[in-house]
Amino acid sequence: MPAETPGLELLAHGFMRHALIACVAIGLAAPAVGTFVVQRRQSLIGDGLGHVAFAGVGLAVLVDVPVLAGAAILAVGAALLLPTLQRSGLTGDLALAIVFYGGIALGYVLLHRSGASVTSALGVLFGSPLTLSLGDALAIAGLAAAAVAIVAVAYRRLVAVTFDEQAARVAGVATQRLVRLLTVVVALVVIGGMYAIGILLVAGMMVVPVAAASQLTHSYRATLLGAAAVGGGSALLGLTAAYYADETPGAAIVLTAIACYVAAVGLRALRSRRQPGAA
Amino acid sequence: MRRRPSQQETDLPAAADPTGGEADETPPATAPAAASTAALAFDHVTFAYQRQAVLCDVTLRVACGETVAVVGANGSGKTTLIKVALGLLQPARGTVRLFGTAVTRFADWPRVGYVPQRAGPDAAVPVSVQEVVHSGLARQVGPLGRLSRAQRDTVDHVMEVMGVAGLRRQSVRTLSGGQQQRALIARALVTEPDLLVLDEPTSAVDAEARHTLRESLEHLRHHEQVAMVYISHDPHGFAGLADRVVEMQAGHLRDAGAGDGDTAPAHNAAPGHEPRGGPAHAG
Repeated sequence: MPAETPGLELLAHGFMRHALIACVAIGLAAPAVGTFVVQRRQSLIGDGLGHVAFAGVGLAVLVDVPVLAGAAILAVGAALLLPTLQRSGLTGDLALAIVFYGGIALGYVLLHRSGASVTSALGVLFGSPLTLSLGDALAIAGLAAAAVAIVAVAYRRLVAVTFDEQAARVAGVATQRLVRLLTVVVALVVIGGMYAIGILLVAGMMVVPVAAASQLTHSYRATLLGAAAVGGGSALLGLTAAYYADETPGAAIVLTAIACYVAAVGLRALRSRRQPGAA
Repeated sequence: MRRRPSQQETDLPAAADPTGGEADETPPATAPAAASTAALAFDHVTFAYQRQAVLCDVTLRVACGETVAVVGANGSGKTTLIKVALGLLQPARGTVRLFGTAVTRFADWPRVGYVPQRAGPDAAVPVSVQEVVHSGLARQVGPLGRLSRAQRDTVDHVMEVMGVAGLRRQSVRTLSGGQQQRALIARALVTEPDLLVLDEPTSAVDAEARHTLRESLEHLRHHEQVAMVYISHDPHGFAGLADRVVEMQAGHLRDAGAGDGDTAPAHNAAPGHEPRGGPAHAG
């Protein structure tokens, strides 16, 4: 029995098993999607969509519908709208900033009007994986699996578009449709990560593991797989550390990923010193 | 490089083709100028950025198998010409045709290879040479991005031809300018195109890399009969490679005469003789 193994008593608790399922699933999926986001230099897109999802949570609480549904409708809607906004003369950063601040402001207003407590708002912003039921955890894992499946099916086209969008267009790839699909997948991960890691922190899991893996890799595929490993590992270690140190899980997971990044930078520097030109 | 069966296509009757082309002829491998359907044809094309004309009534025809160099100073409109040719920008007036089909309706993109001035080295995520070359096949791959045996063979072959086979697992951003350029050319060749469009292929390379690139392009020209359009701000950059040189000056195109290519088409070699299908000089 895992619960009887020394050091693994955390698995004896159902709430920890649920948290592990949700956090590791998002920890694996977020960097897999993030590899393409980072390459497109849109590292803040997860943040922007997270803030729209927060507005969706506020709306759902106000009108008394399932929170995940409210978050999903607004986040996916914004994901579909964002590429159009970016082509309308606004630069990528400006469009994101408008979505970013509009979402957080609207979300807080709606939550305030619904009479929800500050604690429930904090749970969405910074994650509350320990409150997940088995059904919640499996739903989050399902969203993460869907995101990974879409990335796997469209992998080569996504690589082509994120590496060189104009050349991909000339190669006959439907680039606009693919960019829209990528943004929707980001929204799925954000919604999945909302309760697991938190709206404010899940975007970090799309970026930090990718930054860590890219220090030590030479190919896109290796970076994607390495980033997913760093993300999944960070979720496992961060959640375990949070359990024993009685810390907040979402923050512990992201800080673990940042520690991995620092370690990867150090390893790269070490490797460069031993093999000049290897970097 | 293996050649795909010719896929000549047109959306207009031959008589209506402004380049005078006929749709059904297959270009002979050794006499490219004899092909009647142009690989690329501009017909009185005008393009402007915010009312600032960049291309002014440009007419140009590049025959199948022909190599045309577009020279001109920075800002003369060369890159815009290429982007309009590839449908990346829409002209305000005039028509652009690829193999007889209006570029807006052109669907046979594997016949066209595009080599941008620079890509990849600035990538935030490492991308290997092999992945760059594979990305040229992004539209043709099967479920889950698997390449067929034939596609893998083609990838191996173009990497050999371009001299990057030994670099396949290296990150593109760790390569020299010339090696990066050859990787991008390999990506453009992986669909076995009939037309290769190169934007300043030598802008970021040293003399030795330029020599190697030139040899690679000579090989394509002579052995693969690929039509090529390359632009350069340096009129002497690839002297002797082109069948014909045209010059961009403030959005206007003028024929700068025959290149020194040793198989220069006859219609370009004779001074004052207008190329079949229309002049290179803007109207």
